Amino acid sequence: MTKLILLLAVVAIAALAVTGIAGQITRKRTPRALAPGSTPAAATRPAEDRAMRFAQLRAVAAVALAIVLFVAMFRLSIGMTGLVGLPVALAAGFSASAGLLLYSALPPAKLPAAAKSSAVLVRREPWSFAPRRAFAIPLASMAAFVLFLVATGITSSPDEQGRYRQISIATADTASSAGPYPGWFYGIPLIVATLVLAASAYLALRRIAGAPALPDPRMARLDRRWREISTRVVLRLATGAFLGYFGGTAVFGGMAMMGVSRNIATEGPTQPLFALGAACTALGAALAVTGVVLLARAFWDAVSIRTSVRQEKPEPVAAP
Amino acid sequence: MITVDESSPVPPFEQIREQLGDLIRTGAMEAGQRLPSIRQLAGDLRVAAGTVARAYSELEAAGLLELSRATGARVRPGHDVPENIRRAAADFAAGARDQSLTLEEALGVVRAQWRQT
Repeated sequence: MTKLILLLAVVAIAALAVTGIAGQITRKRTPRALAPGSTPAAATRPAEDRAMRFAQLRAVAAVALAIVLFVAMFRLSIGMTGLVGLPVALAAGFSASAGLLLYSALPPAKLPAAAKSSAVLVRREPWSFAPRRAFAIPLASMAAFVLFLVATGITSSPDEQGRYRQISIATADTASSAGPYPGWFYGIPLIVATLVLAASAYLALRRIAGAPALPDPRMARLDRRWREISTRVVLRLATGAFLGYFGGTAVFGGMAMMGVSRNIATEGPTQPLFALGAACTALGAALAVTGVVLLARAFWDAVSIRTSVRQEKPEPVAAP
Repeated sequence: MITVDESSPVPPFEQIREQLGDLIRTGAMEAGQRLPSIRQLAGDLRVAAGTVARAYSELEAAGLLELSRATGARVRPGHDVPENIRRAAADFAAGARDQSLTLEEALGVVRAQWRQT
């Protein structure tokens, strides 16, 4: 457990360091904005590009940090055999959280004070830039995950060291155990990781809503589009990482269920458990693949913000 | 939309207070409508948060807004000008523009008429 705390401390320090360096760079660079005064009738493409560069930088930095941290944590976790896979289970959630925290920690682009500035009187909320279902689906999945972990926690049993990480069945003739099974040993840290991920996503969405509007009123559409696309990046990054470890957990849980029912008998009351295990494994694999697809799409969205903002018809955000 | 002109002799908080007050009285902002948070409006207008906070609290003192820590700023009901007055003002503003009067000149006419009646 000490190694795990050390690993998390290293991750936190790395996230803070990146945040600090990024903040310094932002402060030193000249402000990005259109100069007030004599400007053509429509905002020019280079001016729009300049305004969008920071939005893109922030999204790419968040996704890139999440990927780098995940790879680093995964490699370090493999060596921690004493924790029987717990760091691996937590790697996706914590690395995505770190990326999202970096996103919310980076200050908005500093824009010069124009002689005349304007503001629309519409309140921007963290949920203003995507349809309601784009938030409802991840939240419902998180609730389902917590219920799944509570169910597996209740049905788990301790191993030789007293860690609730296996499933056991005893009949009149024989007893059998199988693992790793997402009992309380994995379940409680995974619930904490999920809550941290949800909070990190909320902070990033708040940052998107709270960033000052682009100074040029002609860029109103652009201003809304970068917020919509950035919201999509945050939702896809958070949901992708979450589905990745939800899927992995379900696969391992399902395999343990199948294993223990296979050890006991080929027929009888344990057969439903085998079927449940097979369903969990298949569903888990599907969730994990969906998670990877969402992560790839988050990365693509992040790197293509500058071209996407010019698409006339916004891409629906139905499934994050 | 509201604007803040830094070159104007009118202080920014007064510009914000005046424009919001006008929008509420003319019914452009309906009763119960939520305003942007102080931080959001200050960021968009490139002014200090205290400037917007002062404008909001003066509007609250005037009974036009209600401020709450939980829900932010909301328009209080019962302050919009009657429909016939708004229509007359719209006609007057259109006529003044047709005659190329400035806003100050148009308001001067109203002030003069106000004193006479």
